[in-house]
Amino acid sequence: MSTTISGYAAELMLRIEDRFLSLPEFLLLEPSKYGKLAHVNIERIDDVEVGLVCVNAPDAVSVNFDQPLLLVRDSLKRHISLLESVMSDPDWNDRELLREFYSNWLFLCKSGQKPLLINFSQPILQRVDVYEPIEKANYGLHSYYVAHPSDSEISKLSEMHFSIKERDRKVAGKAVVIPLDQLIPAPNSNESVEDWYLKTINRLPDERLNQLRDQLGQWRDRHYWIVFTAITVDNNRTWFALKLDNDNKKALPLSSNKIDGWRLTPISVRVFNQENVVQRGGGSTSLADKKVAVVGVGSVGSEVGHKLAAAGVRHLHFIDPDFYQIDNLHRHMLPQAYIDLPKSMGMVYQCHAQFPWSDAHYSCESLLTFVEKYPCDFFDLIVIAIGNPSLERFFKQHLLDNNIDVTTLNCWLEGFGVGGHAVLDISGTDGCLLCAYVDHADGCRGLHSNLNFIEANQDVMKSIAGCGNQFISYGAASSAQTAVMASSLAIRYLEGKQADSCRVSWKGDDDDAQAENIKLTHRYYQFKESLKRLPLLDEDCDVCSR
Amino acid sequence: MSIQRKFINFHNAIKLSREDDKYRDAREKDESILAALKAAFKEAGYPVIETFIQGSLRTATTIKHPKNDFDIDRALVIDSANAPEDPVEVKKVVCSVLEKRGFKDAKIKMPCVTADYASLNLHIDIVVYRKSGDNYELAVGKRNSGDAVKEWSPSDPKGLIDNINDKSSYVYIGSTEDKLCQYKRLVRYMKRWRDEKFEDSVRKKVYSIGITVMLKEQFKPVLNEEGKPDDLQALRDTVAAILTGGYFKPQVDGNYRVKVDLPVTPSRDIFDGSSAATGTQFWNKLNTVLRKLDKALAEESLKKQCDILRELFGDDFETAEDANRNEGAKVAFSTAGSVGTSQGA
Repeated sequence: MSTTISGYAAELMLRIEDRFLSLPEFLLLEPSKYGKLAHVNIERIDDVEVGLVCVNAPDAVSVNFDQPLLLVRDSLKRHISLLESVMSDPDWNDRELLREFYSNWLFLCKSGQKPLLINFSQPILQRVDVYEPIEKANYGLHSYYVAHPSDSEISKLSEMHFSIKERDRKVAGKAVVIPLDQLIPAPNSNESVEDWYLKTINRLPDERLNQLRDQLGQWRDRHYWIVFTAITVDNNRTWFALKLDNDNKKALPLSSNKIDGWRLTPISVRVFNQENVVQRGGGSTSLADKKVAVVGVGSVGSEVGHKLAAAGVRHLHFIDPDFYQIDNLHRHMLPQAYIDLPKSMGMVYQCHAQFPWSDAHYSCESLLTFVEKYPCDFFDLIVIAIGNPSLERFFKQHLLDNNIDVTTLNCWLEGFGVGGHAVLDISGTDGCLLCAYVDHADGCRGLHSNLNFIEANQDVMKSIAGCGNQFISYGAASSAQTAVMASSLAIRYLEGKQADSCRVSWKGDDDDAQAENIKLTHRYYQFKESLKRLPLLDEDCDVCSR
Repeated sequence: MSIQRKFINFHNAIKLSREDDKYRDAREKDESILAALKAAFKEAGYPVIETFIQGSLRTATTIKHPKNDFDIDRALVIDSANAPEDPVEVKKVVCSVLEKRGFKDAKIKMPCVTADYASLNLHIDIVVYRKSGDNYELAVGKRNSGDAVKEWSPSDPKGLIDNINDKSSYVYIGSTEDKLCQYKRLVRYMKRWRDEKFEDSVRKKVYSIGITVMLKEQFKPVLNEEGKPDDLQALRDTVAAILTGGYFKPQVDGNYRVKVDLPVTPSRDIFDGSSAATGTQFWNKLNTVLRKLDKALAEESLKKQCDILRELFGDDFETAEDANRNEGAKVAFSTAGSVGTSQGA
């Protein structure tokens, strides 16, 4: 169809599909005549140059496939609206070109090529080794080229470290990291890459260019990887790379008279630094320095530890005297390979294996031994997931008796899938763990939490193999639910978003409890505030009312 | 401190159980009298085959009396096969044993034998049943009653206890024990109220069992969403339900008669023969209770709430200042040695 967009005559061509399960695509014909447009990538189809207009991420739109005409009309409106923006507002177009720099760079890269893994945390001028992939490796970190600095903070137990240092990988060449102060929009085609490269080098500050020429680029080689990094917009940093190949060994070409003989290939990168990987996974680098003890590494504690590590908490200390057993397999984080290993040690391995910057430690000790040995106020937070109200209350009393100022988060679940609870006790704020233990019947310190959904003094234990093998009946979904709830609370606290002591519960169904004639509390039947953070203070708590 | 905590303190101050130290002398006396009664019954040819405590001590609704006197409610059961035809015969045996044991004014009343042990401020009620299979019959009749009055009357003493302790009604679903405990606290509160607010002559006729049954039938448990009991609201709601529960029958002269049927055999009216004066006073004072409880509920100041409740329940209900003095001075620990819990991780 022909139309006019911002005063320009434009032709758009609908790409017909048998059925539209995503937004119909309109191709912009003769795209080059409009200059370089953001969100328009130029391709050749049957030797005809067309512009692919990127209107939305495909998954971000739910389309009406029952009414294709409506859908096509709506898509056309979106295309025209976007093109109007980029054609009528050059400043916005330039900003968008920078914002989408890496997407445009990817268009220049060969499809199917594995990206270069880069492990840089700092955007500084530097030269590092590039390691070759292991031969015939199709998956895993050892199947990539990796540019790895010697001062990397990656855990010695992480797979990344192992795949580089322990697998005897060959050095394929050198990578030079070049931070850019000014980013030129990505070239439209591979033919323009050399020109783009020379312009980019030419714009480097003299000091950086000299350093590059005299210290980092004088190494004569057939291959060079150049890793560029720059701020795009909104303080977002992008990383991308060029591979330079030559049949003869030569120094890094930094001017037009040195470029002959070099083949320049844009390559994609996968940034393997804490900032990118943690944030991409929904974590926060602000948690990296927090110190959290997780006491009890059972079904709930292991999940809490995992979620905290995933959120970006590097310094986790796991404390548990128990060994991982076959009985634990179906409601625990750890794999079979860790059978007979201390659970706390297994969690450390697990964290280091999955989270490259983990600094997890462990102690094969009980809560009471832990209390005697470690200064509790060293930690920003102590998570207690032992399911033992006696020890939990004892620990609280220890903190009170010794004026130890530390925040604790006690979490536990109840059998038969009826629910779980978490209590965040922030020293100096209203409410404490003992508020959750005030016996509602007499206002005294109780032995059974008043948050519980199962009435006290019932036989809730099951046994398959007799005494010593009793267990509370609940599934992994219950422990995971409890752990996710507790972890969310812990993360909010560590991020400074939760400043007051509070309690949270989730309520499940009562079918299994009813089938076992388990009596439930009034709170269970009335409870409608699953996952809501509620004030912790109980006015009858003897500690808080002093 | 919450008003609920003050109710609990009040309850702790007025409750009495058979195991309490204060009841020790009465308990010892009961045990020694029981031994003597068993010996006498055996000698008379109808050995005691079963004995149990009944009344409020059995249902955990006993309160301390203001003058520190104590009750013993003891039931003796003999086999029907050995029982004399005349039920008063066995009551005479009881009476003679009590007299020999230092009790004064031992009297054979219609349902029981009653006596006072002056030096211990001890009051004793002994009832005798004969039993055939699972059926109990109460020895009814006074010393000089005619044959038409004397009878072995079908009775269900344990059924009444079971009824008081019953928690199968839907109102007890969720924290069943806590709700049953709340009911029993309300009974004790109302018994103390009765002792505080009625003149001696009427007080004796506002029977504890009548209060206990009305409260049981009209009980409105109130726990907040967190499961914390709210005795003030529960008492208010229960008293309101009693007032509209059909127990008080208006008379043409503006007075009231109270009628509460036993919930078990023989299902007689507990207040049978009660005067209009008793009924009217009971009705009026219950209405006052409701007004005062509503006032306490509307009051935000703990001090004023306590003052209102002290008017109803007497000095054993703490003032707000008492609460402050006690607060923080001592840690209130659980009275349980251990509690089975459902917590896991």
